[in-house]
Parts: sequence; C-alpha cells; structure tokens
Amino acid sequence: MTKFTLREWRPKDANAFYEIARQPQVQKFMSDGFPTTKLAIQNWIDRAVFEDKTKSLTYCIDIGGTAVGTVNTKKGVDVFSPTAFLGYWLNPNLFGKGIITSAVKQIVLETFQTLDVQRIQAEVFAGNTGSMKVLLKNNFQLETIQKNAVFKNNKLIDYYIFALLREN
Amino acid sequence: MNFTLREWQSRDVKSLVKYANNKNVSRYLTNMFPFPYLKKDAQQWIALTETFSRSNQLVYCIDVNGQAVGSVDIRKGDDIYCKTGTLGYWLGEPFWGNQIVPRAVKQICSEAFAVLDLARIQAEVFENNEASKRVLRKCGFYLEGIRKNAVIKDGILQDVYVFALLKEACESK
Repeated sequence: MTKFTLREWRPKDANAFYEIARQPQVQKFMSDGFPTTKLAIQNWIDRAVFEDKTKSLTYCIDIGGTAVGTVNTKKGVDVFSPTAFLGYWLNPNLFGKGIITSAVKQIVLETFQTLDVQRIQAEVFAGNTGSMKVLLKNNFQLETIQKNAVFKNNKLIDYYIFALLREN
Repeated sequence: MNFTLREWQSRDVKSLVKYANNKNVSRYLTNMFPFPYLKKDAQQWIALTETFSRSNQLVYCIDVNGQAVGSVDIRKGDDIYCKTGTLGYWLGEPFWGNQIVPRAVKQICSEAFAVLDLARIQAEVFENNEASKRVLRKCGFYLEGIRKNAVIKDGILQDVYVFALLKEACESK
C-alpha cells in the first residue's frame, strides 16, 4: 500500500488542492459547496487551520510532502451532538490503493477518542461505489437510503446514509 | 376541532408562551425550542418568522379560536439538498388527540409541493415520540431509516426515525 501521513492543512497546500478539486471525477460526488476556486480553497484551508479540535478534525492526506486528499469529521450541533459527520476526497490518480480506507480507519479511532460522540455518519451519493466500499471496509453499516434526497447536475439522486456506532 | 393555519403575529406572544412552555412539548424537539419557554423566546421566534422568505419556507401558526396553539413549518434545503423540504411541528398539549396535526401536516405538504419545488419532504422524529410517528404515517409518510444513537435530549441518547413523503408518490394517487 502507498505510504501516506495525515497532517494539518497548510496555506501552501492550496495549489495542490486546486489541481485536484477541478477534476470532474472529484466534483461529481461532492456538494455544490465544495471549494473549487482558489479563493474558496484558501478560505477552506484557513478554517481547517483554526478549527476547534474538540468539535472537528480535519487532516490533509500527504504523500511525499504533497497534499493528495482530505479526511475530516465534524461533531453535530444541538441534539445531534452524539453524531460526527465524516467526509473525504482523494486525488483520483491514487484511487484503488487503499489510501482512503486506511485514512478513514485512523480518523475514526481518533474521533471516538476525542470528539465525545456515539456514532460517525457518512453520506454518499448513489453510484459512488468506491466510497461505499471504503465505508463497508471500515465496518460502517448502510442505515438509510434517502430517495431523491440529492439534486446534483440537474438530476435527482438517492442518498446513502452509513453509520459506525461506538459500541461496534 | 377547527383550526386555521396563518402567519405568526406579534400578538401571539402570550398564547405561544402558554402552550410552548411545557416539557411534554419540548422533550420531542431540538434545543432551539427551550424549556422553560419564556416571553423573550416567543418574541424572538415571532421576529424570526418575519425574516423568512416564502420562496424558501412555509411557517404557520396553528390557530384555534384566535389563539396560537402550535406551529407547523417546511423549510427547503440548500445546495444539493434544494429538492428536500424538512417538516417540523408541535401542538399545545391541551389540543392533542383532536387530529389537528395530521390535518395541518397534510395541508402544508400539499402547499409545499405546489410552491417550493420539492421532490421530497422529510421529517425526523425522536425514537420515543410515538404520537408523531403516527401523524406521519397517517399523512402518507413512510419510515425510510433509523439513525441509531443519533441524538441526545434531556440527557437521554436516542435513535432518530427518518420519515419521507415523495412527490412522485403524491402525484400517482
């Protein structure tokens, strides 16, 4: 398996992020709020650098000093405080090497240790089988299929909700 | 029992506090709906409804004989969630059991599908709220999934029941 490290995002990673974010294979499975302009990416990195580590964990996936992806968890607010929401993306050139599966495994452990949550939830668009496999390999279970819950590129698609419980 | 759905008005503060300030109501709602529910909370809520845009949400007071006794609302999501409306409601305890909420929900769902450009309406119910689950089933919603241990309310960890009503299901009836 390709070796990587998880580390904090740095302002100088913005260009590497930009080169990945502009790829259609990345964008098609992200929300429209996913940053794709240089300014939005700089703002996103600034927020990650200054995040409250008791409420969210955001890591850069680093291979040989270059940012190739991200993995993050964020604790819910109000009554949803027992739930952390997981997100990730990776440079498509590195798909199929087990990188995200292993990165998710690491952040899941740390999230249960530090964010005071009972479950970690991940939401995947129908058709994103690569992402679903990552979750299943990490013992997440498919909890709900939300019919027509996402509108992306002018199409209604189903939303797959996965969860991993602390007790498991 | 008859009721009407109408906009919230500043004169509703008194009756809003009267019916909202009840642990049997707040226990099923998020912490945005506090207990105790004070006059300032009622004033804030009514002021907030005045800022809402009708292109994004429908927010109604449930009115029985001129008194504000509950609320029902549907809010359109943002970004990729723009075709989903999220339904919320509560009713003052003295009015429970009169089929007010099922009728109010049916009415607001019809209107929401007509004006908010939605593909689905979703409602999330705490595990212990059996009455609310019955309301949704009566209104044609189906249980889409259960989010295990997703919420904590009054110190109790609970599952969330996610219900959905699809526009395509309403149109085929």
